[in-house]
Order: sequence, then structure tokens, then C-alpha cells
Amino acid sequence: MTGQNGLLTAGLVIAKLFSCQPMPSTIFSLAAGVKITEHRGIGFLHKDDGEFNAITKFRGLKSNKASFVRSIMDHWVDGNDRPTWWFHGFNEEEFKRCFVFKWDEQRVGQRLYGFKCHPKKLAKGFQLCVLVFYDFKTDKVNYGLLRRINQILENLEEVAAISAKYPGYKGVHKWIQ
Amino acid sequence: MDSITSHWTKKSFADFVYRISFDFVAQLRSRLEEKEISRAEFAKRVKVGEARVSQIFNDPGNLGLESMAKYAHATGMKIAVVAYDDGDPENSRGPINSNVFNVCWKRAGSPSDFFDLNSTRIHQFMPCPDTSDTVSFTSRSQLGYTYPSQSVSNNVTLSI
Repeated sequence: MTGQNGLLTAGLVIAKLFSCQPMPSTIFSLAAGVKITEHRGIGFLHKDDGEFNAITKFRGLKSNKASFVRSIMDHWVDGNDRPTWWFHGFNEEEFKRCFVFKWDEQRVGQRLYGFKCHPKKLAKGFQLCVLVFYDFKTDKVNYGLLRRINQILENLEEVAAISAKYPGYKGVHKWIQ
Repeated sequence: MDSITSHWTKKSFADFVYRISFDFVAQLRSRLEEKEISRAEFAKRVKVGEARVSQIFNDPGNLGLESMAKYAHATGMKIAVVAYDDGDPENSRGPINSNVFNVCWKRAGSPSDFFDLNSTRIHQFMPCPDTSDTVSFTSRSQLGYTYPSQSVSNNVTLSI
């Protein structure tokens, strides 16, 4: 009887694990190999359905272009806010949280869009740039993507993904007390 | 500091050189913007086509010292090769941004030699790492500073 009870308990535990703790569909990870300091860092959101495609572009970069993009990112992490042809925020109040990294591939503009936040409660000076979308274009800003970024800024699932790395993070400028 | 995988330039010297070539290009582009020198004008000054300038700006690759000196000269600048020991011999954190050396040199009054350096207040004081625009000073003795450094340099960077 004891053995049967033990098996039953183990079975219940396994069932509980699978039913109550599903794998999150959105996860956050730091940009592999890119510099991170106590002041700045860069990461990506990944989603099961592939909507967040910045990470796919980043991982797929080849050779010198991968080095170039990582150099651009390092340059921002090092504390540079210029030159703006490689990265910049947006002046419009509506998009003040949004941020973009830019480069060219065969004369076609490549863009990684995301947002900036301060995910460390005890080190609020730390700036994290969370990259979400990839786009390519020749001129204008993709405001459609910026609006989508504004939507996901406070989405519970995306906030939870970031807080898995930075406990206490509850969205842009919100903290668990 | 957050723990991450090692910096991407740890993989090879080619990656390390790429990164410092990028830093050079970043300084060059900033200079062109500051002096309002167009790409066409820059191409003319260094006697290359605009396509080559575009290539350098979008993929600096492995720029040779002579090319760097030539490009810097075309914008009224010089280059220096700086070896330093940042306590990271395995290069886990990547190179120090070249412009940090340039800014420190300017903060020290742009000395042209050690006599010049020693004749300024920098002889007694040296700037501390400071994120604000205001330069703060701490005495060398407080920092246990000795000069010149006897340490072995592990990294090399290029600074304008």
C-alpha cells in the first residue's frame, strides 16, 4: 500500500508540474556576446509564434555583419548616444520609450526596434534595451512597429519574461513594493 | 555586473581588431559630422571612390594602420596606438572604447609630452572615472598611482 501511495504522490506531483507551470511562451535573454555593464545592457524578447523577429535576425547575421552589429551595440553600451545613424530614440512623446539600432546591408536599411527600460530596482540607473522587431526599409521609420512596441511594453507576459531575469521588474518604471 | 557569456571579441584576434577598427570609424564619422565634411569630400581627400568610403563605414573590417593614419590625416587628426592593461587578460569583457582614451587625454589638458603632462595640475591630480560632464579630481597618492606603469599590457587599441 505504501508503495502505491508513493507512486500516486509522485504522479500527482508530475501532473501538477505539467498542469500548473506551463512553459512561458515569451522569454527574455541578453544579447549573446555583446558587452553589458552596470550602466547599460541589451537583450531580446522571444515568442513561440515568432512574432518577435529581432532575435532571429540577430542570430542569423553572418560573419562581418554580425561583428558590425555587435560593435554598434557595444558602442551604445559603452555610453555613447551618438552617432545617431547607428542607434537612436524617438522625439515623439508617444514613442519616447522606443529605440532602434540601424545598419545597411547592400544599401538596404536594416532595423532592430525595441524599447528601453530600467529593470533593476536597486540600480535604477541601469538601462536595458529590449529588442523586439526586425524590419528592413529604405527611408521612413516604421511607426506601425513602434505602436506595437508600445502595446507590448506593459503586457503581462512580456513584463514577466523580463522579470524572470530582473526580479521585481513590473513594467516601465513600476516596481513590486 | 551581470554575468554574460564572454564578449564576442574573445573568439579571435580578427574579431578584436574588427571591434577597434569600428571604434576608429565611429570617431572618423563623428569628426566628419562635426567638421561638416561630406562623404564625397572625404573620398576626394583620401583619393578613393565614394563606394569605398561607404564600405569602410558599413564594414570597417581589418583597417591597416597606414589607412587609418591617412583617413585621420584627411580630417585633421592623428592616430596613436595605445597598449593598456585593464585587468582582463582573457578579454572576457571586450576592448575599452578607443574614445575613452581620447577623452581622458583631452581632460588632462591635451599634453604633447611628459614635460607638458608634468607641468599641469595633472602632476598632482588625475581625473577619476566620472559619468557626469564635470571632471572630478582625486590625488594620485590616494589612488596609489605610479607612473609610468610597470604592468604588462595585454590589449592594444587605437586612439585618435
